[in-house]
Amino acid sequence: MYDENVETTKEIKSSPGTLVWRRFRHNRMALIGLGMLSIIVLISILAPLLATHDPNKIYMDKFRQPPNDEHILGTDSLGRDVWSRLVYGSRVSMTVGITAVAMYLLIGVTIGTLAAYFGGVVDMVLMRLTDIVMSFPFLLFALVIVATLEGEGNIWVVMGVIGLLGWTTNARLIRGQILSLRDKDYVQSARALGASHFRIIFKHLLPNAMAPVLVASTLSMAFAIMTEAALSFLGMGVPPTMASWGSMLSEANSRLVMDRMPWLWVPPGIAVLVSVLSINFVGDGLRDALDPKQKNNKEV
Amino acid sequence: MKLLEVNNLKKHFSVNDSFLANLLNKNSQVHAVNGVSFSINKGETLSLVGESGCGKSTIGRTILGLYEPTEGEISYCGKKISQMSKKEKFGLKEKMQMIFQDPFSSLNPRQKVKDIIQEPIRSHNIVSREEEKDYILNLLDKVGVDGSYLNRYPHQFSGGQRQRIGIARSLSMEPDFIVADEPISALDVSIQAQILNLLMDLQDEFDLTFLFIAHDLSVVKHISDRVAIMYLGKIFEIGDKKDIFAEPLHPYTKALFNSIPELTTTTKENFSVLSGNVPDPIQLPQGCYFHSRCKYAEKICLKKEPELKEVNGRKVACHQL
Repeated sequence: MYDENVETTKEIKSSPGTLVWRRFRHNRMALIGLGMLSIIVLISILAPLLATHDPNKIYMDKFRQPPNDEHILGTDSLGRDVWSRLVYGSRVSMTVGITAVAMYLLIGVTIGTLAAYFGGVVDMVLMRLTDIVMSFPFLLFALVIVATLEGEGNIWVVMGVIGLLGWTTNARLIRGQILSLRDKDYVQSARALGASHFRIIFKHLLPNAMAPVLVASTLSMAFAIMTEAALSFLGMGVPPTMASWGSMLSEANSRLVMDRMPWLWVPPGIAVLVSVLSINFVGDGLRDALDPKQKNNKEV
Repeated sequence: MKLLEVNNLKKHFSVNDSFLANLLNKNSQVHAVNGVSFSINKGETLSLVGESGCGKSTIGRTILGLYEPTEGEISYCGKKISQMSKKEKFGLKEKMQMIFQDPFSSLNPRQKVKDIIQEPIRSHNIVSREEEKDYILNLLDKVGVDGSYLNRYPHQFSGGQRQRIGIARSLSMEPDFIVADEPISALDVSIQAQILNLLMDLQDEFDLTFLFIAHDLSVVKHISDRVAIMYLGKIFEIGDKKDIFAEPLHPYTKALFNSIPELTTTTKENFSVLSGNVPDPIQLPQGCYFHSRCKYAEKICLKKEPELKEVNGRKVACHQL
């Protein structure tokens, strides 16, 4: 008789995680994105070593100097070193991005999971709440909250607002995932074996539902970074003394700077562009690696 | 000795559970199971047979407590499940287990074989931590999976092996009663016989009682002691396998048996297919559920629902007998 226990594959490590990494590794854009992102994270960690000057020190005699030997990217309207501010600015962007995503995950996953798992009235209430938050005009609402809390210049208020308004996509995504997983046989089997709600949610549902949520979270990290830049550009973000890419960009709101002093706004612009772009590449790569059924993905 | 008794079980599902539908009172129901009674003796195999959508699986899952029954009673060892305490119900999970149809969705893709089997053992404290590994290896050996595969994930196995792992998981609680929900219909033909024989061997070894859900009559003939034929959430005929296979009485049972193609020289003539479709389970028909497709249907069949009654040592629900 044909024996089904024959060894078919070599003994290679093949946990779901290893498989994902193996597929991710073959996506060149995603690798470049990951590399860029790691560099930006490194820069933000090593900021004190990389900065040539104190980012907040004002050199009274050097307003708006073009790049030179001492200030490699020149100085801004208050006479501060642009390169040093750029380096320190990455800290704000990364903190905002990571905190916002953590909040998206925490709130979104909790609400989405509870809604889908318990269904009925719980689902109704939580999803209507999500709809309401979703219908807020994001930037306007963020401005109003920051203003009423008198949180201008408080980076934690800014991060809180971004986090509190942006979790809705995650909630909807995870709800859809859990709804489709809830009736899978292995979940039914866990129930037949007497597993608790807690165990079913954390052992059987969430690990299998996280893939699209992780992808969405990377992409929303890019969105959070841009929102912080926008708020800072409008003067509602980080305190004026604190270096942030958004507040550096706001220098460009005069015609003179736009036309004649590109060193003031091109570097922070490129910094935002590169970080958002590389996060998006990583997100795309993650999506392809986590869901091999999607096309454009040669069998590895 | 009666191990399990099902009394007038009904299970209806809401189709449209939205707020608006409830408000407008437009909430319709799918009548999946419509008053089913049967009992299973210890050590025997009862097969539930019927076409897809007739409520076989729903019965199995309701017995295991995965669905709440809409009406009716299920008793285990003479004790009504609905009257059991939470603790008793948890203990009952050790006694009643399930084997699933699709081996590709019945194992969590993110758990290793070891964890899949370990989880129920730990939550029910079946054996101590020291004995755990030997216990799991012994189980895997019983179902014919090599012990060296402990640290593998489900996606590294074939359908047959996965089904064996699923069986090992059910057996880990040392159950008395197993609902086997079409356990072999998703497998390759070459593997079907192996799994079927495995189930029968395990039944002998552990003195198991099976509720075997199937639509393949040759499989049913091989494994069961008693057979129940279902149609639209009702049992039409229930009795000993030998009697029913020797002489099917209900018109639907006859039609089912006639629909098995046989290999003969005159293949085209030796089987017939029932005409028409199963009625809508949302709006159940009046009278006998089968009257729209039955060639013997008379006036009474349109009006009055037939009860199950004793005929030739079995129970049949038909006015014509």
